This record gives sequence, structure tokens and C-alpha cells, in this order.
Amino acid sequence: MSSGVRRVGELLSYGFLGIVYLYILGPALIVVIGSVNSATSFPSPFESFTLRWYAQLLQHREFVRSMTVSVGVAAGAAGVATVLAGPAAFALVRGRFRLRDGIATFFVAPLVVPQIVLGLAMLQLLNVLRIPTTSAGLICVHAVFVLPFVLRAVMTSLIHFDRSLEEAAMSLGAGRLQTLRHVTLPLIRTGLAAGFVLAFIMSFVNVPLSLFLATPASTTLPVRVFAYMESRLDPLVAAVGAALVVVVFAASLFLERVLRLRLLV
Amino acid sequence: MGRGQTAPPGHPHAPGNGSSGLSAGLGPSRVSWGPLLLLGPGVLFLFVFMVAPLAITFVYSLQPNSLLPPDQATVGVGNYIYLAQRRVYVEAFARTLRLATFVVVGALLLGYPTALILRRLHARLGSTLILGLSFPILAGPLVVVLGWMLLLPRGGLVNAALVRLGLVAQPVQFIGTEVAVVIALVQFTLAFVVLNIFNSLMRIDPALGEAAGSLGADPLRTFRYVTWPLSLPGVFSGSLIAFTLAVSAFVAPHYLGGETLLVVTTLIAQFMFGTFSWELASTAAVLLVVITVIMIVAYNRIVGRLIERRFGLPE
Repeated sequence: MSSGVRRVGELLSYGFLGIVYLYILGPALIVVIGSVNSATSFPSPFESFTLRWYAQLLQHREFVRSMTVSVGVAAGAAGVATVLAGPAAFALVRGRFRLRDGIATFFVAPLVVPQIVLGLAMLQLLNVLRIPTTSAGLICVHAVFVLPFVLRAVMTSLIHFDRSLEEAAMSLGAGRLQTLRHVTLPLIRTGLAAGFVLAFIMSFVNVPLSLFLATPASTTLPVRVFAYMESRLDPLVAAVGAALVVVVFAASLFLERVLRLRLLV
Repeated sequence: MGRGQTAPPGHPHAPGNGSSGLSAGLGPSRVSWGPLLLLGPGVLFLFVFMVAPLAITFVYSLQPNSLLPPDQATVGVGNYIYLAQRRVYVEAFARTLRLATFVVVGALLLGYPTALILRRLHARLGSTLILGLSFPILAGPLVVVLGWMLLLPRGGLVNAALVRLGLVAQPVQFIGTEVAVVIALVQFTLAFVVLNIFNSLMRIDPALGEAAGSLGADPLRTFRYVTWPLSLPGVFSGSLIAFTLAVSAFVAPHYLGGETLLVVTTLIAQFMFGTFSWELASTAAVLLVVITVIMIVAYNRIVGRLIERRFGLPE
């Protein structure tokens, strides 16, 4: 095959890739641009750069309160999921026991149940038990949903784990707990951290899990925005969206560069 | 994600590959109660906050719904019959499955070539680009859907570009159509499809392609007889994930499809917020879960059989 044909093929494939990435990133880009556009009507062509909408956002009491709710719920859910999934990943990777595959499947089941159904079921559980809806209920249902992500991250780091390091520690006289503390945990720390960050993000941006559990005191930011968009679209919404984009972008760069973790793989 | 590797057959993620022998204190060979202690809390948590709530939802679905006249209100499968007898609801289920099918097809058409191209790039660049693909998932459905709500209207950039390119004479109405929902959901699911196909492509031994080439096969034939069949596990697992995500999507159908284009998730929300019928919402929810599980099981069966037939290997 001539090099000319190959050249054309290469150009075509880069062109195709460009279109795919435009499709993937375009909508978020438009939101970011809309959030720094000084035009008052929305959406409208770009006029000039402003951070006015972000300033307004910080003065919007409900958005700010929802932001704190969201941070609390996401941190709580990621924490609970990490504490539960960390040891479980250990057993699933290292252990050989009956029902192992069944339990592994059970742990990823939350991904199969549609999130809106998880949220509805949680509301009904709280209702049956006559427990008022609070952030605690939100944390529990979010923790269920993000558990598989943490499990996956920790399992990945355990699979790539060099067992001879532990053997070395133990042959040098370290006890089990010492080995766990000084060898094993430091080595899977990136897995735990990556799982936590990923869980935090997936919880933080989620709408359907929290939709039915929203009370004035426990409305997460995405649910607040979701409801707000029902009545109007304005630069404030774009500012929230853009802030999310920036936070997520920073967090995923952190995962990729610092923790060297491939998300989702 | 968690299902990122839903049964890529023969994929050695099974435990006990390699390092056996000395277990570092937590292995089962020494402490048989270890797994129970490590897994117990997680299993218990999922039972209390997932299994039990879903059981309650199922019980709710058997209660008579509030829209019925009192004399017809009996405990049982009445709500299921109620939904099955009304065209709007049946259509919502049909639309959900149809949209999910379109999403899978769209994601495969875009995703397969993308995976092929990414495979040929430098590994480091490839992994960064894959991270880029997962951006819509990480940024969340709200940002993405908001973006499409800005891009897709008659006066939006997409229509401007289509008219400028001469592809359409008049701006097209996207918002409120199934096309808009599919566009957004393909964007959302593409990362999973590309990832799964990419992973299967990376597992193909490059020597196979070279061997085909040296035996005189041109690139097309090599693709047809080597690359394509060996990438099928990734195609199947990717499309299964895309399907389940599409079926359970909520924000995109709500805002881009609107009230006239009900899918099951938006139907559930409507029962909760519109008609205040927990019973009907629960019924739709149970059906959605059942459909999803049936699809996954059936798909795994069929795919397992196909792969067995093609390669003569049991999974």
C-alpha cells in the first residue's frame, strides 16, 4: 500500500477522533462558556468575560446550602463505601472460599438496579420504619451505589500487588498486623484513595438517587439544580454546571497524574 | 464500571492465578473466618439498604393503588394489570427498550472505530484520551443535558452548523424528540463501549495480525477474520453496559424528551410527584428491575453460547 493512501487514512482517523471528542466534550464546554458570558439573557452569543454569575451563585443561599449538603453526603457515602469495600476487596481477591463468585456479583448488584429505583426503595424503607428523611438516609443510599466503584478500584490495586513484599516482611519477623500496617496498607493506599475520590464524584453529581429523598434540609446540589432548571435556564445554572466541570476535571487529573489510576478500567 | 468486565470470557481475573502458597496472614488457608469478617459488614449493609428496601418496594407494588375506586382495591397483582391495560404506560416501556437499543447501536457505531484508532496511538496518549471519554460520566448527567439543551434548540449551534453545511434546509426540532435523548445517552455511554472494545483489542496478540499479513491477507481480511472475532467479547460486554445505563437514565429523557416522551424512569417520577401513587411507582420500578435483570441474564446466555460456537470454548 502506498504511503499516500496511508496518509489519507491517518488524516481521516484523526478527523473522526476529533469529531468524537467534540461530541463528548462540546456540551460541557458550552456550559462553561455560558457561565462566563456577561449577556443577561440566556443562552445568547458571547459578549464579554465575567465572573458575575459565580459571585451571584455564592450569594444564593439555597445553592450554597445544597452545596454543603452535597459535600457532606458525598464524603459520607465515599467514606462508608471505602470502609466496607476495602476489606471486602481483600477477601474477594485473596480468598478462596465457597460462594466467592456469588458474593462478588452481589457486591456489583447496585449497578444493575436503576438509581431512581434505589432512591424510591430507600424512601419507602424510611417510611416503613417511620424515620424522618435526613442526610443519613441519603448517605446510605449513595453508599450502596458507589460501593462497586470503590470495590473495583481496591481490587485492581490488590491484583497488581506484589505478594513477595509481604512474604519478605513476614520472613523478617513481622507479625500479621505489622505486615498489614506497614506493607499492605501503604501499597493499596492509592487504590483506596482512588476509590474514595471516584465514589465522591459519582455521589456528588448524582440526581436520581436523591430525587425522592429531598427535604428542605437535605436537598443535594444536583437535585436543586434539576428542580431549578424546571422553571428556567439562566447563567446561574450554567455557573453551577461549570463549577462541577472544573471540580471533576481537577479530581480526574489528580487521579490520572498523581495516583496513576485509570478510571473505570 | 464495576461491570466493566462483565464476563469477558477467559479473562484471568479469577483469584488464585499465579501467586499461591504463602498467604500474608489474611488468606483463607489460615483463617477460615477471615472472609466472613471482611465481607460480612459490606454484605449486611447491602442487605439492609438495598435488598430490604427493594423488598418493601415489591410489597408496595402489591397494594391497591389510590387511583382505583374502593370496590376494586384488593391486594395482589392489580397494579401490574392496571399498567398493562393502559396504552401510555405500555408505550413508556416499549419506548424505554427502543431507545436503549438505539443507544447501543449508536454507541457501537461510534465506539468501535474510536477504539480501533485509540489502540494505534501511543499508550500514554491513549489512556489520557480514554479518560477524556469518561468525562460526561464524571461531570454527571446535569451538565451534559444542560449542554445539549443549549446546543440542540432551533436557534442552537447544532442547527446553525447543519444549515450552514447544507445538510438541512430548515432548523430541525430536536428537543422533545427521541433523537435528542439518544444523542445525549450515546454520549453518556460511549466511554464504556470504547473501553470494553479497547480492552479486548489490547488482549489480541499482535503476532496474529502479522501472521495473517505474512500469509497474504490484506488489512480488510485481517480485520474480518482476526481482529473482529477476537474483539467480540468487548463488543458484547460494552453493549450490555450501554443498555443497562440507557434503560435507567433519568435526567436526559426528562429534559430532552419531555413529558410526552415518557420512559419508565420518568414515569416513576411522574407517579411520585404527579399522581402521588407510591403503589404504581413501585410497580413500574419492580418491572424495570425485572426487565433489566432478564436482559442481563439472557444476554450473558446468548453471548456465552455464541462465543462457544465460534471458538469452540466453553466460557
